[in-house]
Amino acid sequence: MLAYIIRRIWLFFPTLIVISLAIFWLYVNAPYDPAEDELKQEEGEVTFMDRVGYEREYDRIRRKFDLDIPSFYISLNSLSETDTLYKIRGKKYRQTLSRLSYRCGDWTRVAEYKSNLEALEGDLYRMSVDSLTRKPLALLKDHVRDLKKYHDYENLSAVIGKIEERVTLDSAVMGLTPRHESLSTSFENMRSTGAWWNNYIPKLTWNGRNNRYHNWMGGFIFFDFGDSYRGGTVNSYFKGKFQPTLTLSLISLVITFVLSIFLGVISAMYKGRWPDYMISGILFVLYSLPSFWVAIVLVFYFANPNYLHWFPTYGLGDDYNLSWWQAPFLNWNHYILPLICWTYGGLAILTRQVRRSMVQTLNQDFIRTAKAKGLSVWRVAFKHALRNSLIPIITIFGSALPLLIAGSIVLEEIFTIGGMGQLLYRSVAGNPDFPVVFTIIMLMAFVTMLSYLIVDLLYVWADPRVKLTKKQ
Amino acid sequence: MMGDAKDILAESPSLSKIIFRRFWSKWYNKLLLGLLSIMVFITIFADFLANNRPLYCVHQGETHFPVYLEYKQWIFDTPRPDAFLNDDWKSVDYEKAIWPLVAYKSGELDIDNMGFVAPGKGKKSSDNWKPHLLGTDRKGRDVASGMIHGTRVALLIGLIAMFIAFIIGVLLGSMAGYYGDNGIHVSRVRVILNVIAIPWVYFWAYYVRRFALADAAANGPFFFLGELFISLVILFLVFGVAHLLASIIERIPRLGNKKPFPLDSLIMRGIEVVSTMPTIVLVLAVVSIVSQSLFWVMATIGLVGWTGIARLIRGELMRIRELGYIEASRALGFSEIRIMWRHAIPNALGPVLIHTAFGIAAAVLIEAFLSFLGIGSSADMMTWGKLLKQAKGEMEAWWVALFPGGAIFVTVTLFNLIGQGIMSAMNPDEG
Repeated sequence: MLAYIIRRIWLFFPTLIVISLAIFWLYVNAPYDPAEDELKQEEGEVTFMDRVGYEREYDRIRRKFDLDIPSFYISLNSLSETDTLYKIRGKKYRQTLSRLSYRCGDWTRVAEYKSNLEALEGDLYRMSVDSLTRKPLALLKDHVRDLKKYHDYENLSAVIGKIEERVTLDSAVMGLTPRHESLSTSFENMRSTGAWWNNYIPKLTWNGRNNRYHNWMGGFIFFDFGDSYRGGTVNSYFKGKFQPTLTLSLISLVITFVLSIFLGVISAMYKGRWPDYMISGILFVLYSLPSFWVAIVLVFYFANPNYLHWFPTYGLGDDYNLSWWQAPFLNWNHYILPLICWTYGGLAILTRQVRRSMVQTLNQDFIRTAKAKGLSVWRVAFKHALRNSLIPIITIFGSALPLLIAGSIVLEEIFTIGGMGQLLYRSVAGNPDFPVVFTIIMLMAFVTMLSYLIVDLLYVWADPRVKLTKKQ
Repeated sequence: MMGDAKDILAESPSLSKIIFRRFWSKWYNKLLLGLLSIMVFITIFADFLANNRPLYCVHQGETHFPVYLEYKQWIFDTPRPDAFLNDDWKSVDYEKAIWPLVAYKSGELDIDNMGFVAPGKGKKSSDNWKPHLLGTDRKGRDVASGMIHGTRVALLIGLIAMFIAFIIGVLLGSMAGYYGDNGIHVSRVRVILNVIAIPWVYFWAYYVRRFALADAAANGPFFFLGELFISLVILFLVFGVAHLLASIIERIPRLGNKKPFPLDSLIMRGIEVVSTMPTIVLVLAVVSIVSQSLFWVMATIGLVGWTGIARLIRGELMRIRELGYIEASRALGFSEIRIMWRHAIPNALGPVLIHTAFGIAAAVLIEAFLSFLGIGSSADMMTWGKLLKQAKGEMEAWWVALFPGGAIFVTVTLFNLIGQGIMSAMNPDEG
């Protein structure tokens, strides 16, 4: 048994790593980049110093969210690319360069073009704007912006032609001719290179330990989840959010278990008679009712001054001085409606399980023996049968808590309870706050794994015959 | 002798037939299937049941079938007749017109009847205005039309998501259950070469072709499928080369030793990883990353929801593979694949069907849940959840709460009862 327990706990870690990789993969592919907004400001008429400021701010934000370092320990690129693409400013620009290097096949040529383009851009912003230069400069800035967007050679050469026209015809910007010439040459160099085979040769790079995954996961060990896109740390958003969700979930878990055991035993005892049909029927109907629908109906009819104002409309009571175990008792009226909605869905599933497992146990020989000894029916049911029927129920326990937390997303929104569910919903809405969202997903996956682990260990404790290989 | 055996086979119905007969013999199961076919009918013909244009009309001496025209326009890109160019079908003078049951499109705004107009009431806003049978919602959208098009969304989500889950679950679960940890014997060389092939497949089939795939996806589904096919060919080529190499290396005496491949353990680890992912939260994240479309909701529910089915079919097959008739078919010299597909899996499908029926119910609930939060479908697409959302604090507009709530309830109950029905048809003794 000890060997089993050790093996089971050991298996926890590879699974955890795979899950964290899967979630991190989604995280890395999340499209919203908080630094992009800085670059959008360049669209207007900005001075050189403004531009430097935006770029500095852009770099600062990227650094803050670890976006300026590699994503993972290793990266797989083709020979035609650079492995430090993440260092380039601007998502669109990164894509353009990536496409260009794919077409050209030689990053050194693309890099040369890139540095010439940026040199020209720098000069454009450095030149003083007066009545003569205003118009040509604005046009040239537009052209450069186009160059950063286009990746097909036809469009690029057309834009470079336009720049040439402007630079040769307009005396105010004639000083930029050398810049344009080197840009044009490097573009032609890039265009004439067609080393497509480099695209098909993979290149593996070791990025060292300073990568996003390492830092993100390392932070989890010290409960440091990084910064939120909406300002402040992720931790500051979590403050006080765990408690209401966990309190409600745990209370409803206890209620569900007690009630479902009670109802399940009764319907197993009266199998095929009216109490069984009634319990199964009512629970079946309840199971199909969406909890958010029940919630809005309950709030409307039982927490509404126009109808029955029995319960408060929102929140869990605002007496923050109460400790977590006092609050549910003293603010009980705040808890009743949410708890009903939290509980009834799981009740149906669990009661069915208890009933099924009780029916199986009640058909076994030792129950007949117990009855033959003359014990009362209820004593046999609760003392002898129930214990043996509970073993399969343990497995449900593992999936109950994560489900309750997922259910809290909409219920907390309806009852205006400031818990994890509401936080998650609000973090997804609008420009998603991905650090918060993915931290919650990772924590939920961790809690789920932990509860599976506990369930497996409980299972061994309850039924020592279980072996790892036979695990269903 | 052979003739006798054939006669017996012809006379004795297969297990699935027996189960279906038992299922069909109950009157309430007939009712359920009837209800399901009504829902399927609504799903297929939603555009003919609720639309903003007539089914048939005569306009300035010309006969049109506008709803059919919409399909034609969508498929062949044919232009719309000039008289209807601005898509305002209700203010046209028709000589003759037959309107659909509900004369409103899903998401169509009736600006004169905004703010929860009760069923059958409302202001006549144009010549061909039709009353709102089930009232309107806050923005003046017809509830009946939303209900009809919501049926389509709900049923599609439930069926397609569970179809994806079913395919993956049956495939992986049956492999795990049938072969177990000792069923397949492979040499180490082959395993190692296949593992080495994975990054190369990623690189050549996806990474190198990422721009081609993205451009094709932007051009349209057919282009994308074409590019995807090329990627698949590359995938098979790379793995093929790995196997070829393995076959050559295996000729070296010691390296060719075959060892059992722990397929079952591997798949079970996979199941554990996937079942740890919180479905709803994952859908929330995926939709916020990719795009607000039903496709991703279905795909995510399907890609996460297969674990239950896989577990079930694995357990069933572990039991079945020990049974006499499998051994008999092995003795007859049938191939492993044939035994699995023709003999083992069909007998394990019962519990899986039950689970799938419950899964469809759950997927319908998840979709309602997501659209209640305003996530997962584009803004002009009406769903039950979106209608229901407006009932929050507006219960006086009972039609916005009752109809969609009732529809979700009926659909979920329907699939749960079908699952229950199959279950009791399979084990008639267990009540």
